[in-house]
Amino acid sequence: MKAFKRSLPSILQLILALFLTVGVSTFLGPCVHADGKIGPCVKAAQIIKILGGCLAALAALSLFIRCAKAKTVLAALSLIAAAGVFFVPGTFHRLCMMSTMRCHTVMKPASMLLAAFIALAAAAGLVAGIRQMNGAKQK
Amino acid sequence: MKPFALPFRNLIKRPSRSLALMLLIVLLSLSLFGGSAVVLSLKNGLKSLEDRLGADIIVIPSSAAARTNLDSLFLQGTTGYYYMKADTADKIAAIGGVEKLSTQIFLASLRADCCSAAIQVIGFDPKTDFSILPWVEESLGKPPELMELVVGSKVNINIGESFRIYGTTCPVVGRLAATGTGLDTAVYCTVDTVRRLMEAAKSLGHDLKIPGDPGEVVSAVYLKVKKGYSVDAVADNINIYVRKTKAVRTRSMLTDVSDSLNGAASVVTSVMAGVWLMSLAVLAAALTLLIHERKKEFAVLRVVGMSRGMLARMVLEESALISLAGSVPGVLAAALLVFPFSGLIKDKLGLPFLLPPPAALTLLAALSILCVVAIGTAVSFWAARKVSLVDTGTILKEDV
Repeated sequence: MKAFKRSLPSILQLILALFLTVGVSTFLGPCVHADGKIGPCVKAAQIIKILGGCLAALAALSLFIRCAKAKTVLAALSLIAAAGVFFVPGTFHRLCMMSTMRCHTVMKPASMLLAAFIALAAAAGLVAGIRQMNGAKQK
Repeated sequence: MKPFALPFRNLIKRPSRSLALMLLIVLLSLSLFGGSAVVLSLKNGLKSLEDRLGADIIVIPSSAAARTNLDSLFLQGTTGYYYMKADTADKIAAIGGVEKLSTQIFLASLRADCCSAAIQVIGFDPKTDFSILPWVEESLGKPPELMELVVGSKVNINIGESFRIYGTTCPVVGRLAATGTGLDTAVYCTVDTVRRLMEAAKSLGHDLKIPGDPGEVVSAVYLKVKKGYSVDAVADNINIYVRKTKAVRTRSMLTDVSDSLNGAASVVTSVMAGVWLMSLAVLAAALTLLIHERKKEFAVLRVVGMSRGMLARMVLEESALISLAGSVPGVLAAALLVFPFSGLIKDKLGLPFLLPPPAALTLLAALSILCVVAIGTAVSFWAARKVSLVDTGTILKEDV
């Protein structure tokens, strides 16, 4: 039970990251233009997918690694990647010109919300990792 | 003992039970705040549309009226351009009952030229306009100059940047306040600017189907009817005496929108009411079962000296704490669903949708929390009364 509780932040992060990656590839994805032309939001979606994949990989790795220091580092990297996902649509990478288009109404808010939740899970993992390290030091 | 100390400890010691009750409360507050925010935003959007239309009658070419309707421009922001001879305005002015009259010219940009989508360009006459000019002056303080553009709130281009339409670069000098309608996706300039852009389009070989010289056409005539005259009568006269035009009463357009809006609001309210009825019924049943389960606990508390009134108060305080602990996350969850996705909600409803100002939303959130706490506590009143009637002796004898 204790082991499950300790792994909970990583499990949550894995589920959310997979949801983000699959979502942005499908129902949360960018604009689809009728004439086949690609908008700037498609590149933003690709960046989000890559970061989502990295977040899923970091979470999966964290589930198998037992070393508290390594887990803490993975959690910190996840936090940075989640912050990246949060700021990619519209800040780091521009989206389409009209705020009524799908990249603004669906992809951006969904990515930002999921990134915020992933960041919370990563932060919880980071705190748990630091506590574990401090507990080991005291022993 | 501090007030709420024992109820708080009771809740912490039974996390699963407390969480289950909290989830019901979360559902209540989510539906109340979320539903209310959506309904208020719809009403705000309608009021915004009424304010922006300004005119009593809009006259457009009858060929345009057959092809499209003003609803799609004002509500969805669908681009369109259509033209009639400029002297139509003089003929309309000659019809009795016209207090104010102003013309507008519409143009749509090419998709590839500047933008990831075609954009509606609306040219207005700064000398006579009474619908767009007040809105522009709120943001910019003055009308735009020749070849300057003012963009709607949903057009993602910064002030100071340039906008390219039909090979012509125009600086963006202002951004208008949001209206929650299709007008937010348009760019605005003077009629002289639009005429220059129409010349530029013509020189690039684009056929805008203009009947004659760009300097001699308009797309729409906006009218304000004099007091004492019937809007319907003036519109009918225009339809009879001014050929190849269609007079649209903005009141009828607003009535149609208002009817659709009321329909959407009724659906949202019905869903809210359904969720509330179900959740309150489950909450009342759960509290009754819990009271039955905790009979021995209450009997022991009575034995150690707790009065009936104190016992009842403890149950009410537990409900109040659970309701407060559940209502705040519920309101937050509703905020996370409605505010970031307001664009999607507007798109799916196809109605004017404008979120109220932050102060109003904060007040709504506070009222929702208060309402949920009050009703959540009230639901447990009957359970609290039942607790106060616990017969200590009978309950403790059951174990013997």
